[in-house]
Amino acid sequence: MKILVVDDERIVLDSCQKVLEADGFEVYLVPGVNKALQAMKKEGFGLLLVDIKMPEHDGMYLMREVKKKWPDIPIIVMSGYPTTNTIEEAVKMQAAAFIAKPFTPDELLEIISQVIQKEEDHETKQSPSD
Amino acid sequence: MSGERARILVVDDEKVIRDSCTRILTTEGHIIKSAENGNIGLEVFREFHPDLVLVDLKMPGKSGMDVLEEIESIDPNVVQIVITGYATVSSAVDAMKRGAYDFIPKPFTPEEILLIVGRGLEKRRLLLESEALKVEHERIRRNMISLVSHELRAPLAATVQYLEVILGGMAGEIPSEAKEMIVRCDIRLQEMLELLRKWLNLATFDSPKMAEHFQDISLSDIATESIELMKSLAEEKKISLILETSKDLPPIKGSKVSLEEIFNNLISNAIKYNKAGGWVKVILYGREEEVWVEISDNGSGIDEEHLSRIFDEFYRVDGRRNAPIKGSGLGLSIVKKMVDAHGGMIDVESKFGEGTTFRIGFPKFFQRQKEG
Repeated sequence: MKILVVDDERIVLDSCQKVLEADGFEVYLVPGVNKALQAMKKEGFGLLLVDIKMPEHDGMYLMREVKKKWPDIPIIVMSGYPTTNTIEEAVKMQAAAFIAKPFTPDELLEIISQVIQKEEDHETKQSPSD
Repeated sequence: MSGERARILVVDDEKVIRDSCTRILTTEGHIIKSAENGNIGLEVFREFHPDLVLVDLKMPGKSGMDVLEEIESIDPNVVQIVITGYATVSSAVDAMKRGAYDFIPKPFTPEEILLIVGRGLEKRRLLLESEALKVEHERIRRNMISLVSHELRAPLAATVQYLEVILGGMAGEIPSEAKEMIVRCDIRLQEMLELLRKWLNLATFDSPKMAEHFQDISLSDIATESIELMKSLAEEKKISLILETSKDLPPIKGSKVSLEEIFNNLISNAIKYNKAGGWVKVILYGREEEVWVEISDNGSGIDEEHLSRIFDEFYRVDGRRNAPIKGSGLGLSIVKKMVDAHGGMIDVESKFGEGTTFRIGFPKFFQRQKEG
């Protein structure tokens, strides 16, 4: 599966890449929202890992754009600013999951596998009626 | 404002009153404008931006009371003084309820009007000062939040992120001694991050915004999840966790994230300040209009002298810097703030050496009142 990681912090991009590649994912890294939207036009991603606080456009803006054009791609929100209001906001924007930075490799892999599992269950439920 | 040139608007249908006010107040160096009825008065008010308004209560057309109310809604920091021809206490009290600061009965002497206007302008000066302090306070608060989240928390989080990757073995083999040191760094940095997270949560907590997302919440689900989360901490300290919940416990209106925060804080405290072999009990029951939560322990308890201050920010019962149990002194402030945001109440009972009970009552049907 191809995963797009969007974060303006190089260390976070690097860490996600190391963790996800070690688990067999194909990882694309971008430092901001505009680059993320460009990448999404070229590649088909199975999952997005998005930071909220970024210069220029923030993660909430990216989520709105993605929900408009690619509503089926699950988005995991990462935030180094995990206050109650931020989490509520992410839930309202229909984020598939929320992960507070910093996270351990296991926490990241666990949350990704939960989201993928949920997506698969959702697809199996829908397919009999198709 | 007193002693300085102020802008004063006089709204009165009697020309003689307008003229005499203008004459007396001009001699004090103030800038005066006047209007002969309520509608013109409001028009002048919008362009003139006065510090103080003198309004006659009884005028043909728009009444003085209506003018008072409209000015109050446009700018509550403008001081309004009522001129009343029939100096009954009730009309003056009524006017003051609608925002007037003081009243002056007709007829008045120059000394009387100067005295009352002088007091009103002093009040205006204090209102403006307090407004400026509020703005300054808000600016400092925002800067502090931005500094803590971007300049402190973000780089710290990124550093820990790297340590986690290194500890996960994704940057090559690490000698065991080095690994141990990195683990210790990691733990200390995590504690700092938790402190910053709690501080940010308190500083940015917006209860009206949170109330917009309220939904039906089962407190027994929240309690079960929180106990599950705290299991390993309790096992480590050999403490048993007990949940007792009455059947058919009704849901409450609330925010899941905040309620989790309340339970996690109180249960983790009850574990931290306990002894091996101790217990932590969570009891949930419904009573009339409320759902009650009791979180009790048979741990170290809190001395009576500290009880009244435990919900204060940064207050720690064990204030020593090298205290054996580390805490931020923010957990209970967060709990209190979040209980308040749910329209609930919290109290604490404790006996030093015997244990502590926190009791929270949440209303079953909480309708947040609109601000303002």
